[in-house]
Amino acid sequence: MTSRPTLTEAQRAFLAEPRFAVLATINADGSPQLTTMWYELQGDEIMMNTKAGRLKDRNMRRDARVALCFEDGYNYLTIAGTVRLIEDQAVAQADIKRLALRYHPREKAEQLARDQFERERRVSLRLTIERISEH
Amino acid sequence: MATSDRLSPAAVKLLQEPQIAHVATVMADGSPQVTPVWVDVEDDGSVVMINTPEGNLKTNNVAQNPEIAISVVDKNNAYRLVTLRGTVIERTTDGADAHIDKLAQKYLGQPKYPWHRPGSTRTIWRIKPHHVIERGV
Repeated sequence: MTSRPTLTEAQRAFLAEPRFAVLATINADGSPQLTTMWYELQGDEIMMNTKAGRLKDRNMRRDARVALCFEDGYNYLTIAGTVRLIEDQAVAQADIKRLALRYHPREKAEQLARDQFERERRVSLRLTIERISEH
Repeated sequence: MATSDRLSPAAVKLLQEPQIAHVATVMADGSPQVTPVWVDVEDDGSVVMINTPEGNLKTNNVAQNPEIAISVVDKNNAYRLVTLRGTVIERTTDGADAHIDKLAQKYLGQPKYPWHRPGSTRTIWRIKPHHVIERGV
């Protein structure tokens, strides 16, 4: 077993900004699929959250290997790894609210949680980092 | 969800702006890989093009599996986006140096691509979309 790569302090600072992550998953036919995600770096894991039943959710249940890309002009970071899905609604709802607050002002985040997320079944994702590539 | 096999005029307009695209390919082990790229599009929305040096990881991946995905999100509005699945129908070096200069004009406002490496061969990928999803375009 090889040791897991660790993020540098500069990479942690880059990920601390509320950027949009581009998430690649694998479809049932083996082809790739892309979506844009909110995320938060939590320790050595990346937390994301999605609505249950979406294509990416169905894909990750079948194949938990994913890739993420974060870009800022001509700098970018790609991270490949494996996600763990958490369906406990207490965790999943707390995570999506936390993400909404990271990306929106409080009033807008609370409105989104109340009018949308709380009415949905959510799934939280925890990405274990297996490869890091920086350009 | 209804999808299309070509980009609408509004989606073509998004890709004609200097917006960064992300391209996903499939690794030999079946896992995904994703990188940012410059992107070009035929005016009728039937084909999307990227331009990449030969010999990189994504080129090796599409040689094995031509199915890819491309996502373009407006850098000023994350809710205006096009995401598509498609097939790389052609990879050619013909005209690829002129094409990367055209993209340098689009993205950098410069007539010549400034980062050309001696010995590096540029390739145009022509991608035929088969599932196009558009939001807020």
